Amino acid sequence: MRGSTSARRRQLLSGGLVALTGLAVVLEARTFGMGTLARTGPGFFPTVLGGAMALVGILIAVAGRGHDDDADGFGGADWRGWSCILGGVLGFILLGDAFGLGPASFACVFIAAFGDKGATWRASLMLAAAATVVAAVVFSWALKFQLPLLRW
Amino acid sequence: MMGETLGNLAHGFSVALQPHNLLWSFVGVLIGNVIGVLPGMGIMATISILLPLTFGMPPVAAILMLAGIYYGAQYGGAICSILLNLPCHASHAVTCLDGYPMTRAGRGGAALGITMMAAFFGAAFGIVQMIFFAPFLVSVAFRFGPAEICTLMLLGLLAGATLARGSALKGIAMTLLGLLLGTVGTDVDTGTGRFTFGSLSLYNGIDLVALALGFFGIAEFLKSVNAVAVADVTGMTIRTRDLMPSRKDMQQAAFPILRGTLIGSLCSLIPGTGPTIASFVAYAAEKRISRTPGLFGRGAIAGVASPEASTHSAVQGDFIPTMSLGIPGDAVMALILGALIIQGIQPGPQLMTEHPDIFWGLIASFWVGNIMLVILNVPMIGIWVKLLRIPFRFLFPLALFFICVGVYSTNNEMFGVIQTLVIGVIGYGLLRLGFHPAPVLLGFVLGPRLEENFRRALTISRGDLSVFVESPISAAFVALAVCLLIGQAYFAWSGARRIPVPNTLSE
Repeated sequence: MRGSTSARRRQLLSGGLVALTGLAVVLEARTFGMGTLARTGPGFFPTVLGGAMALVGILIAVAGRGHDDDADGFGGADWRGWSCILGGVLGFILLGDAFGLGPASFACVFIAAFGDKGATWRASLMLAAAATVVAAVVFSWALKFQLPLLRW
Repeated sequence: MMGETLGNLAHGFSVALQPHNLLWSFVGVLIGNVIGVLPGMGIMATISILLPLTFGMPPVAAILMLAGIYYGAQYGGAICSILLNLPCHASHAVTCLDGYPMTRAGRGGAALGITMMAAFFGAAFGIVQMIFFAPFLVSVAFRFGPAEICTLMLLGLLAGATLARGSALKGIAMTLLGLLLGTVGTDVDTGTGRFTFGSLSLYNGIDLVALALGFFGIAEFLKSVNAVAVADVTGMTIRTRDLMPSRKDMQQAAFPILRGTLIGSLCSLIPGTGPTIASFVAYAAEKRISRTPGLFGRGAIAGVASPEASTHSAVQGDFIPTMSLGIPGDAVMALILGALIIQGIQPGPQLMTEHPDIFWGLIASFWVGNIMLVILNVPMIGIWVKLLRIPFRFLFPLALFFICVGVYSTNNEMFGVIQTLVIGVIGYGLLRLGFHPAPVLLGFVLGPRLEENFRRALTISRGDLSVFVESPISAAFVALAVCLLIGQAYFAWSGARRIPVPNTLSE
């Protein structure tokens, strides 16, 4: 269990983030044109929402007493898991447009598989190969996926 | 009335039993069952990955399949809870408490058998409730004008935000975020681009699939990587004949199943209190009225039967507000509603009369699907137990790959995948700060219709805000919403504990 100071800080951070987002939304939305109540402009609804959000954010920061256990169930930072998962998706994005679906699928699964602490080269390679076969047979051939399987 | 309903239902069966539709609902329940069994895999992610695949399908088949995933996963989820003590899905977390002790005592088969009975009974009740209650709701909702629709949606969103898990204020903040994300793109009235920041791709708005997969796919995996326990099922074999509960078990389970079913059906009608809350309420109620409360937590059969029945009746009942009013109660329903909208079908009370194929076909397919699920689960239980051995470290990289492919295929551009990645990172940050993502999706799906009706109501009243409290119906909705807020504030201040819902691996 974390101490109440860190829980309190988390509430302040949460509330502050929500309030700032709301404020930013109001500032941006006012430029769309507010219109009148009888003929509301495109900025009216977002401005109302943004205002409400700013208010709720302040309430979270002030009234949140830090006793809620919403954020429990999280361990410490898992940089390996995080970077491999994000790296996998990033790999798909970067390789997909440049080299096609096949290499993108292989890279995505191969990188992501290393996110698990028990990952081995052999298992990751086999998983990635399996995904590439699925990409080729199911998506490219059977479902006529728009992204070509291979290109350079 | 009765004859008309039966006629409609017969029409529904003629739709649901067409080979094409039958096939897709079978595919749906099968995928759902598999996903339910696999530890760490979410229903939301699965439905969103498959959503792009349904774009080319006829609407009826698409909805039957997506719905099948949802209720099919409930059958599989119980297996995971009872045999592994893993709360794979929130709505089956409470089943672990007594299901796993039964497994330890060598009665896992009996627990699963009772679960199947409870599931089918609960689901059947939920479907019957939908058959009779949904047309009634529709007939009431037909009298609604823009102001009533607007206040009803507001009430639904508020209930969805404050009654679900976690802090009520944070729920409201997430609903507002969802509503705002729904406004991104071109304004329908004037053609002005909103929150597009010069990006041409954002003029079409944020993609539903990208949003759902960011929050429920990538963010969930960031949370569960290296956190899913390795399943130990060595030496565990359950055969079909183990599933047959003894006469004594059935006698002990009969009334808990009935009570659980009623609690589930009640919970399903209140937005925000879906299957998960229903199962916790059912368990707590059963423990309170039991003559042997000491047995609970040590393998009481009532502790398995009642929450399972309530989950299944709530899952089927969940469809009632979604299909009759167009107001989803939780994130899964928001996704199904989003699928309808993508298919070009306006959700709302007119859906039942304008698209009877979808409405009655769906209800009929619930019957067909639940029967298929019992057939799938009882003789094939051994296969499902084997599936439990697939470790999460093999699953999440493949799931990530399906996410990328699924999002790419919605618009055939990489921009969707980039959106998903960004939303996933933000979503994970929000999860860590204690925000739950379900209300975001509710707000996102309802947002455009809420704004449209809000603006229309104001135009009709020539800018008079009192239009929202003039008609008695609308005023009642506003009053209910105010009561809800006051009640929440009271409970927050008096420090009363909410129903504790433990964190689980996925929604």
